[in-house]
Amino acid sequence: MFSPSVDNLVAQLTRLPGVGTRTAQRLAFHLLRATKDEANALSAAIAEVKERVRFCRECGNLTEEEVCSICLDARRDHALVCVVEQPADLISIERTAEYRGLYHVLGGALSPLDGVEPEHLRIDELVRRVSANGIEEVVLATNPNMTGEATAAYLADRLRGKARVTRLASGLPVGGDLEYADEVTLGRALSGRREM
Amino acid sequence: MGRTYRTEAVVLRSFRLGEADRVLHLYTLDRGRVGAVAKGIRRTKSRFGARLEPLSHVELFLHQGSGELGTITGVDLIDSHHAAREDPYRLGVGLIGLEAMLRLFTEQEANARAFGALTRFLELLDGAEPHETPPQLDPLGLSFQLKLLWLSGYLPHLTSCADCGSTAELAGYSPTAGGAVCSGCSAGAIALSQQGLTGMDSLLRRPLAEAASAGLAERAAREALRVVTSSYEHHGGFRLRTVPA
Repeated sequence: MFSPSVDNLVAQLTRLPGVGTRTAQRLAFHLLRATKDEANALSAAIAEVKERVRFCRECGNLTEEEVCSICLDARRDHALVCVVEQPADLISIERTAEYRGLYHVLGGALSPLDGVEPEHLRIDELVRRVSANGIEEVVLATNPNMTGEATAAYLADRLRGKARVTRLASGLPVGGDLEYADEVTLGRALSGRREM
Repeated sequence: MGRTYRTEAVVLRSFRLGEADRVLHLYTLDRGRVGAVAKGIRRTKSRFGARLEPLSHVELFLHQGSGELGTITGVDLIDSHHAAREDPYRLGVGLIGLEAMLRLFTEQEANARAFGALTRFLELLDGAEPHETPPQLDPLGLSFQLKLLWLSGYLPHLTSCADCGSTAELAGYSPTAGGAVCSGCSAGAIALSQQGLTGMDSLLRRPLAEAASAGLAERAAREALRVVTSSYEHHGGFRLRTVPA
């Protein structure tokens, strides 16, 4: 509609999550108005991240070195590992500032309907890591949905006898009203209630 | 011009869409197979909460716009079937049942009997006893799949030779012939024992609730699974991903 190169930029931007055609057009026109240096800086940042960022050899987190800064941090509890599906989940747990152990990023969740089997995830690496590194507790922090729960059940079975296995609690979001809670979440909160 | 309607549905499958949405594959009472988007469902503050997980039996308010996918505007939970979802064995059986529905009932066309069989299967699955054998050999799961084949028009003929009509002892199953075959017609057929034939016949005649009491031995269950699998391959050209090869 505009020119082949602008159309191509819009088409590339619409491939990003949450970006539709209109947003892509707005972004494209913003980049056209920007100085050449600004546009080149964005382009260089994308190229650099693709060139330098890789997965940590130990935990599967994103890193620019062979081993990520979390795995190398001696102040962390190296006997505690939290298992997450994606690096974005690791960032969410880090934001809580409540957890000082290590992580293990699986790269997804088991989903037989979608053809995702144990061998497609970093599960064997986790089992080896737990056996070899003297890990005492594994916290399963996969998503609280069907695939995440199935993955957690599978991991608990694989890790039985190797370490203490715990699962993130399920229940009501802090700051919300009880009347808006759905039946399943409220039921889980009730069955997981604790003594005060 | 879009419009909103209300229907009972079972969530068969869901996958991520964009930043916080999910696409749901639903089997509905009023329209058969329907696809819909649940907007914002992955956010913790979503009003849908955990009501739209696979296996859930719900009442939905759906807005059908001009596109292929509807949009879910409201949901009431009828049964979450969390007992089936939270046990690995039951979940394994449930996923096989859901995938069979997904593959066999692909049209937007109401089929109240198929919907009834699906909801009954899920109700019974909540109380199913886990077995030592793998989920694909579960009698309830096999019975449900045989009944789905029946409802799809692919009922295996098991009382006489499906090829020559002979009532002599049946020795195999031929998906091409559409049922059990006698020893004279069994070239290229799947070998079946008398135990397997009786077991399948029993599963087909009994209601789903009595599948577990049909006394299906492991050999008979394996043969029934082979018959179901080869029927899928022959009539639909697919294999279930949830059933290991």
